[in-house]
Amino acid sequence: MWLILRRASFSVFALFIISFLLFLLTNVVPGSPASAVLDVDASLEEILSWEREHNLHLPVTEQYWIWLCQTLSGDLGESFITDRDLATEIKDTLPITLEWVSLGFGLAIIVGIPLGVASALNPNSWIDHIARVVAMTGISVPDYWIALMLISFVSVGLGWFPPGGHTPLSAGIIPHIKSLVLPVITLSLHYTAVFSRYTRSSMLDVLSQDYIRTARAMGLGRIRIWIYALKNSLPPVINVGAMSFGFSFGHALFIEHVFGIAGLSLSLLNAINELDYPMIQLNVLIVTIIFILANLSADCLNFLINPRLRRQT
Amino acid sequence: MSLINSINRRNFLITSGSLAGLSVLPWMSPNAAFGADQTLTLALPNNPANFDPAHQANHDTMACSQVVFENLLEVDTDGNIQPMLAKSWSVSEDGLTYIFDLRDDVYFHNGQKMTAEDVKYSYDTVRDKKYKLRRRSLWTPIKEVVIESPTKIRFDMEFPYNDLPKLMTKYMGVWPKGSREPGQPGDAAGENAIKKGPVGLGTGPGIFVKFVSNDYVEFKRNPNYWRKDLPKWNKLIFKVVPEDAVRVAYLLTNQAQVITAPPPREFVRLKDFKGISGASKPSYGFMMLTMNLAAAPMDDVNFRFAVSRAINREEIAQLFGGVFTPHAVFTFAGNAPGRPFNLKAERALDFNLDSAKEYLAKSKYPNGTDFELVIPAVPYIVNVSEAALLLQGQLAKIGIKVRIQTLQMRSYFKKAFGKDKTNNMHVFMNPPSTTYGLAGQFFSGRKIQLAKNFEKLYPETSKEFDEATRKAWASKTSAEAEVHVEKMQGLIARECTGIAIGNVSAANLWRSDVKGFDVNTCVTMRTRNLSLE
Repeated sequence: MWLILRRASFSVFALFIISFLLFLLTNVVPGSPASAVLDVDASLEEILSWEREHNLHLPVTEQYWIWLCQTLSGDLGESFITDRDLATEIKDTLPITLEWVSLGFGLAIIVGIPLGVASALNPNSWIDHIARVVAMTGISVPDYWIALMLISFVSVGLGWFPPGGHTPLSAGIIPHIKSLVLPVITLSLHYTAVFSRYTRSSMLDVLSQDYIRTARAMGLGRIRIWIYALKNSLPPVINVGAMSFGFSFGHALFIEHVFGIAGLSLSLLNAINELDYPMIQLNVLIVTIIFILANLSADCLNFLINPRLRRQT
Repeated sequence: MSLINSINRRNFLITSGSLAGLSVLPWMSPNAAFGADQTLTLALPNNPANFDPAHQANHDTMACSQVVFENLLEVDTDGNIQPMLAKSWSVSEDGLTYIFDLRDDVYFHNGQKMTAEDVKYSYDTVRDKKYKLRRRSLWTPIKEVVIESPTKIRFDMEFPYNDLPKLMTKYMGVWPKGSREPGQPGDAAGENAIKKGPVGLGTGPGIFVKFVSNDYVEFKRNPNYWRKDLPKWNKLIFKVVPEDAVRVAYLLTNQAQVITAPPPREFVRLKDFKGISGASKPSYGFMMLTMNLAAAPMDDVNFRFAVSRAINREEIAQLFGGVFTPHAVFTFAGNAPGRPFNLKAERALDFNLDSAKEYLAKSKYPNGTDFELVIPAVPYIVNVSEAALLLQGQLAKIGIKVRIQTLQMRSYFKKAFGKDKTNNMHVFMNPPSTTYGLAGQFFSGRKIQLAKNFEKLYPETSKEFDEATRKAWASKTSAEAEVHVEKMQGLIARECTGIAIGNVSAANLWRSDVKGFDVNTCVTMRTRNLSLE
């Protein structure tokens, strides 16, 4: 338990460091955000006045302190471009992205890990070849291309699912699910490949260990051996999974753009394009928090399935 | 008994799996629900930045704001000016006074009756620097707006300005008196209601309901609309779909019933699809390259001529397959009234590879050089990215390397029109005016001169251009104006201060069950007549 608490407190510390670096990075970008916000013919006085209004005339450390105090007190500020309250913006976009990314990731776990296991248990068999093709496709084909192909064949060709957009749950469960299917499949294809490859190699590694050979020699059942092997091969997969969950929000940038899903990632992409600094800072910070939480969850999972870690504490 | 005997684990799993699969089929049918209940969805490429008709930057935003806000005059789908909130209008002999008779049966969405007070307030606020409205400079020729009666209003002009009625069809609206002042309901500062959520502020066929950024804008039917029995729809949705292919998919799957900016190369093929209709009309828009005349290499006249003469506009027209007419001067579509066309200027600027090489040899860059060209990442009226790539290849033939940078709309406008102007390429859409587009680029009184530094670098040409523009504005007939506009075209060609590529046609695709849709030559979509069969 102390290990988890130690990791958690380190994560909080890391979050502060990252938020400061993030603040610093967005502030060292050449040019004033005022030039992106104000009209093209804004005078110098207007630019300076706008900068004062947004505390941009203060030293970066002071700006950061003000921002941190406001953020911790729940005041997330306003978007430079849309003037919308950022808390509302996040409330509208985060659940959308979190939902479909989690589903896509969950699907990748459900398909990828068993595929990797089957592939490891039957090396060079037809199932292994299929898994390899899936992995090659998932890793090498860009998300946006897969998305466009799915739209072309599954949506336009077969008419099964809408080609884009996000239908809220309030509009009915079936339209809601239908709007999620294509983006979820697009995302999951990549991570299915990641999970199946990592599971396969980790499982093969464990299956070649002496203790497995001993277990077999001692007449332990095949399925029991597989369960032991899987349990021991999971820690690296969990660690990769935790990292990948964070990265999946990067993949979501393209997927949300193609499918026109008004989620957090699309909001981040637009904020980057429009130099909306408060929006960029907040969105990246949220993705960082998700990243940290995913890694913390991975630590907890490893702690649960690995008795050696428990004994260390 | 044999059936019972045949049940084993494998069969059970196969059967239950198949049943589960079959149970999914009913909800995998096409989305028949869309378009139901007279809900119309239109797919646009750009996120509407704001709904203020006097502060818009692009036509997608305009399409949305025109559902809420209306003007004294409007343009019909063939480009003719028609009365709208004004029943009729007249202009004095000297062109300095315009009088508008207003309708007396128009109500704002908040129930308040529209009067001349509201019209005066609208035109006074748009000209007031305090409100910082993007289209202000278009209205500065108005000296004073005078109320003659609750239904009659007079516009006194600083100088004859025959663009006034044409501009009144776009870039403006009528909003209730006081709606931009502090203390508005739901908008304490009074700055944002019109921009962000114009609830109750317009007279148009649609009442603003909701805007979800990067997603959609929703309007509901205005039951008290002054055009009785219109609109036919109950709900109107503008859905933001930036990707060309996905916008087409929206149309094909009936997620959207109308789409704008169809992919130019696919347009001809798509309009013949079963269940899809499409049409294009010559428009008042031109594709052009505007430059920073003060920065290398565009500061060199010979280099600019080399660029213009190296562009094979016919090749670009082939790429667009029938929705593009190549021209090297800033001219208008074939059916534009009083269409000016300076043939001499066209010949001086049009494609001629040998001449391009000669100009390049005379320039400061005889061995070629490179320059940056920004284009919009999301189609603005028409997707110019393929045309830009073709242009890149054409200029490479004479040793000019073009570095194309695609930018999102806001960054694009900053780069294209801002202080550090970068050479850019896009489509410029005009109201039914032959002077608007040229004046917008080169007239010294305009807020945004696209040909940056024109006035400073070429004072003589600029002076002559301003004179020709004023004469065109003072012209009483389109034939008279044509002479002056041709002079303006010639003045641009004198130092090649702007590079025209050609006219684009307005093009739309819609589902065949949509009735009342007509392609608008001025591109802004009219939605009030639309209905579903």
